[in-house]
Amino acid sequence: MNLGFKLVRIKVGKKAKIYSIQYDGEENHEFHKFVTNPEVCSHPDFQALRKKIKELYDKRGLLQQYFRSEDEKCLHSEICRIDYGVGYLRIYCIRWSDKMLILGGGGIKPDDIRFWQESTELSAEVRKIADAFNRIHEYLKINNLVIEDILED
Amino acid sequence: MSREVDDFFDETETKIPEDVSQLVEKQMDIAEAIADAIDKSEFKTRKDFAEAISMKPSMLSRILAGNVNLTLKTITKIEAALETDIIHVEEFKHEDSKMKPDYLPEFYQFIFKIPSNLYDIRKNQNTETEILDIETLTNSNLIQRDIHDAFA
Repeated sequence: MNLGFKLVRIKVGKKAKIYSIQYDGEENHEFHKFVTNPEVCSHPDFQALRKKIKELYDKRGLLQQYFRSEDEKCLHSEICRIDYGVGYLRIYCIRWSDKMLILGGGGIKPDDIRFWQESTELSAEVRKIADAFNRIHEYLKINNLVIEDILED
Repeated sequence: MSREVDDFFDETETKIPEDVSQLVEKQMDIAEAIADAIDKSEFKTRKDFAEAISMKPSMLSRILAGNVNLTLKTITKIEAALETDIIHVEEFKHEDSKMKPDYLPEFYQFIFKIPSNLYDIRKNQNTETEILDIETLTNSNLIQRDIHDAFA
């Protein structure tokens, strides 16, 4: 089985390590796409979200309370989002453990919708991160590996 | 790693504004204090607690995620239900009942008939001196006699 992506380390903090997903054949990882999206980085909550993520990896650790699970039964509890304020700006992630976080992409929930399922862009991001989680799980199981075996510097 | 990703984490080019930084830190501190207090309380689950204070569980979840700019009213409601302080503010220490220096001259002139020229001299000095001098005057025989006359 081919994983179809690699897990790239993007930050080592005092309390946690952060990785992102870089799909085969793509030049950049998902988190890079998030921070270079002009709509995202000009959002009023962008700096606050940045601070929140910083607090998580450097000071507080990946406490469960800061991660919001998506209300869908088919999704594992590890698949969640970090948001700020009323949650318009959000980044999807896999909280693999207390010390390891895999950041995916994200976006902005439009004002006129209530659930992420109503947004094509957000739905795509959730599906992508959920698919990555399932693939990692399966890959580790089939190859009798642990997550550390497939991490890249 | 790309410049944008470097900057996001290490603030190489764009610093997080100090007010935003402090607000997020405080919101997260409060969120953790509330979570800790709920865990130590008699409420078995966070959902139970939310119901006890007539709050939607989703709202409590947002608060615990450090996402809500809580009002003092909500904090007080949470504190009352948990019977603990979430935020602690030092009690304001009131000074002894000294009147504001701005009002003193008129007050003393009215009650004790201090000649205005005496005040004109005093008001050029610093505030502390002004208060002390007027207090001294209050204790003087001259002022004591005026008080006696005023209420006679």
